[in-house]
Amino acid sequence: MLRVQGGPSEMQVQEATFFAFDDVCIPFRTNFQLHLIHGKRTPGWRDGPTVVVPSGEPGAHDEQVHYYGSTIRVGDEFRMWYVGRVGCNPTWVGGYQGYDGRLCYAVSRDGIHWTKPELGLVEYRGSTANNLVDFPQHIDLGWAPIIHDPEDPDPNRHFKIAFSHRTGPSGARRGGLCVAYSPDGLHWTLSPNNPVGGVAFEHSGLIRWNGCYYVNGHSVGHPGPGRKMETYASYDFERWTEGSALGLTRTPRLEGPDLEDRQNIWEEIHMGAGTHSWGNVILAVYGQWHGYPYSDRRYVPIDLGLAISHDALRYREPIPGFRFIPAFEERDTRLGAAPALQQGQGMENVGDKTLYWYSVWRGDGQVRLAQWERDRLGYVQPYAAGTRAQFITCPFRVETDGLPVHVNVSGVGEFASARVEVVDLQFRPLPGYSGDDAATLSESGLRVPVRWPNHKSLPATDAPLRLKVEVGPVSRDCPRPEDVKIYAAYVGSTPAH
Amino acid sequence: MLRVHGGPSEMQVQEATFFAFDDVCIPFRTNFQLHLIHGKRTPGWRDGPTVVVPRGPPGSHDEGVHYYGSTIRVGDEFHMWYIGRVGRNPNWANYEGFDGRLCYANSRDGIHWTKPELGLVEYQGSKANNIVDFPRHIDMFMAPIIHDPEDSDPNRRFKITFSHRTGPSNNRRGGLSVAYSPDGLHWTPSPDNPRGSVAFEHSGLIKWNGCYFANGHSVGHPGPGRKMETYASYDFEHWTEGSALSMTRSPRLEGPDLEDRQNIWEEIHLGAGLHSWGNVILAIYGQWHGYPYGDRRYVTIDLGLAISHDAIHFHEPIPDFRFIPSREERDTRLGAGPALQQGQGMENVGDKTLYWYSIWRGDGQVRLAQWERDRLGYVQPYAAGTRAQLITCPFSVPTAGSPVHLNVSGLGEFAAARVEVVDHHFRPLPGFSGDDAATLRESGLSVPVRWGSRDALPQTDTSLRLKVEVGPVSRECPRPEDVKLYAAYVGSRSE
Repeated sequence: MLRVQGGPSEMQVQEATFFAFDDVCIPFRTNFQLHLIHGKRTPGWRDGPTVVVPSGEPGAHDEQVHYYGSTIRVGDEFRMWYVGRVGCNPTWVGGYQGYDGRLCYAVSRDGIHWTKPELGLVEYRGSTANNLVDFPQHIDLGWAPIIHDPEDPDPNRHFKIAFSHRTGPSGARRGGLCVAYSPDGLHWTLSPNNPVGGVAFEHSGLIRWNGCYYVNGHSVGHPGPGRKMETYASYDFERWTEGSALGLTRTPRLEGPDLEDRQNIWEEIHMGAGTHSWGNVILAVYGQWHGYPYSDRRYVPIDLGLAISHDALRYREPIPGFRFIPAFEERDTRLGAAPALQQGQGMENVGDKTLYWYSVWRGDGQVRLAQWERDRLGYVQPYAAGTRAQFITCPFRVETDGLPVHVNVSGVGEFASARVEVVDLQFRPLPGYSGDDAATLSESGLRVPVRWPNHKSLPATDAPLRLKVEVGPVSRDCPRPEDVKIYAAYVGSTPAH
Repeated sequence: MLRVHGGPSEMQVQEATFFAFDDVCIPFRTNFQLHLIHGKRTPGWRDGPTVVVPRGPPGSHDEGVHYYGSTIRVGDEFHMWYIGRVGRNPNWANYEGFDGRLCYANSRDGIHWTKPELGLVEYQGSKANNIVDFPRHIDMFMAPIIHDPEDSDPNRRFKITFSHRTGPSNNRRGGLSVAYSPDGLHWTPSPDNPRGSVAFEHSGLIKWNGCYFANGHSVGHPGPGRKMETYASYDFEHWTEGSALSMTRSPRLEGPDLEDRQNIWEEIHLGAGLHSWGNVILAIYGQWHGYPYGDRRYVTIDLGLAISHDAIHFHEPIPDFRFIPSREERDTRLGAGPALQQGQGMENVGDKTLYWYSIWRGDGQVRLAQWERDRLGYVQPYAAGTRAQLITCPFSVPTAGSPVHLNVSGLGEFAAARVEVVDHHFRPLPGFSGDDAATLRESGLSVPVRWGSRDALPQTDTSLRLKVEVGPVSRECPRPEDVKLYAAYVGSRSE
């Protein structure tokens, strides 16, 4: 007898978020239509993107910005690392990328207003009054996925980066996967074992999940045309798997001499995905490469897509091909080139907003902000009027008494309501939380508390529970249930931010 | 603090099968190209399909056969249930007959079948037939059956889920219904039928991790086309009202321009027959290829392969691969598109893997697809001269002495494979890796892996993984790209 751990194990969290678009955490549904919300519904976007970190002055170390970086909240402060470049390197498709990618730093209190501090660490053109991070200057960085890892017992390894690079200043040859460590994100020390991975790996994602580190990008480890999302794993950040997991692919699995000259023409995945833990699910924002039939990368547009994962290895799109952050109307893109976005790693709930930072390729590269109402990245809505819509979550086990339940919902009010019940693993009603004791929601909001007639929270139980949410003709006073949009349900304590 | 069980839990098995096409059980790979093997590589298929259960003579209760049934091995015997029909029902484009009856056949090898005279149901004045004792007012058209010997009630050892027309030759369907049997021949419907509110065309039923799952296509999710959906129950009586959208092949479009479009999409017909291989479910689904003008007579249906580890979410190792292609099923009525009917039943028998299916709009007779045992797909190095490597998911060995075998071909004088054991953290296990790695030079369906004098894994507290390498592992290995690796097995071999 043996046990095979062939999938994601259970996740222990303070608060579980059951997103409407997460079909693993909400598997059972009827009469609900899933929608995603793209990041250009922000009011005022037609006036131009919300640039939050501009490029530097001409001649500055970051006169060009390639974000492909990271934004991390530590306490009350937001920290951003991005790649600053100079000049126009003609070997990179007519000068879209500059030379000498340097790791740069910015800070913010709200994620919207950023400053570039004068760190005094690295001299550039005779001055250290700049925001250059102390990172070995011979390394021409192309991307910078960074994680904050306060659980590491070594304080000098509380920040970690995985990168590939050209081996010398302005050189074109890349090394394999490399890593570096920092106590504060500003002073970095390379691993003496670099490169720690054998493959030159263009990646934008790095995450620690269930005690293992995963780096996510596109690579050459799997056959077939086009860039595919691949993931390498390590438990100590030094020894990485030689093989990668094929996490998501959008290209056909064709081969043969008729295809051997075709580059850049497919629906592909560029740089993998920035990966963001929401506790029980990973939200991944990937480069949605739309190939150009004649292979010229100048005309390849790149939107950003949304995928999710529960094991950091395999990813799926809630709606395949959905343009989660569309590239349209990024008018800073050089005229003639197609608009193409650069993802980064960093997505945060701030007040009543969810924020994500990105930039553009073949343009000014300045870091922009996409935003949604908090956790309103997608929703389910009844699609057959007058018929009950229902979903049931995956099981969860309440280990401590008194966990509250909240719902992120709109459209509830005078003419529409929703019922929330609790059932056990086997879908049997939990007394006091179901049937006549079901909770009725008659209020919309980002975080509407669920209150059963005699309970404000869930009890600790030995057996797993599930939430069962119904929208429909739940009462005579509910003539317009199809107005209701459910974005997420939460079980557990309210986070501090 | 709470724990969220948002995925498949670990599976406890006697033997784990790590199929080459299972990207959950073999997540890490480099330089391996995945191939699937379709079920028409059987020698002699060009002479026609291998019909193993013919239809009855004209006028008999099964003069038309709709398989959509089940094949189950119990001990040394194979049991098959299929749907027998009579006549031609003009309401069903003349392809299906009237009055679907549950019929029975048995076999000792899965290839040679007999229709026993059960003596249970009178048809045209005689009980000398193979009609099962199932309520006659139910017009069956699908019969996914499971054997459930763990049920404490001996009268519930066989279980079926079905949707049906409510009366003989009637067209109106009821919701999901269930019935029980002690022996598969005498059936008692639940007194509370229908147990589900949705008329659910389904071909799959499985008990997985203590829960029953019915798999088919339904109307529970928006968007055009038939989609794979799964309902769940822990007691076979109370089923979820909502279903899991398990897999979809159709676009998620809507709008007035699409409201007249039926049957035109890439769809999933009747869900999938589900087959537990212990740590993975092999699902064979109806791969519906729509006809642009909506006429179902011209729709073609191949059978596709999907896999699952939780019986809820399914994915295809190679999307749209025609695992059992419908081409050259020349018994299809001339003018109609060839369309296959899946069933539930896939078995390893000796050195073969067998699967039974039939055709729609033709003679309907039950056919056999077969593969070399577990050789449903393989990985092969694609860049010559470069090392190819795979690492499995973790597994724990609570008892010492679990052997490891490989299903592999192409090994021999010029090609070899190395098998190592690493721990959960990918660290080499002493005695099973590095210089102690096992080297295989022999091909076969089940080649034992031996590390020096060790021929089995030790019991360990931590999880282990297998790491298999093919490539220039030695100077005597100039053609590693000849190697095809189909599966790895950990644990005891059992039929």
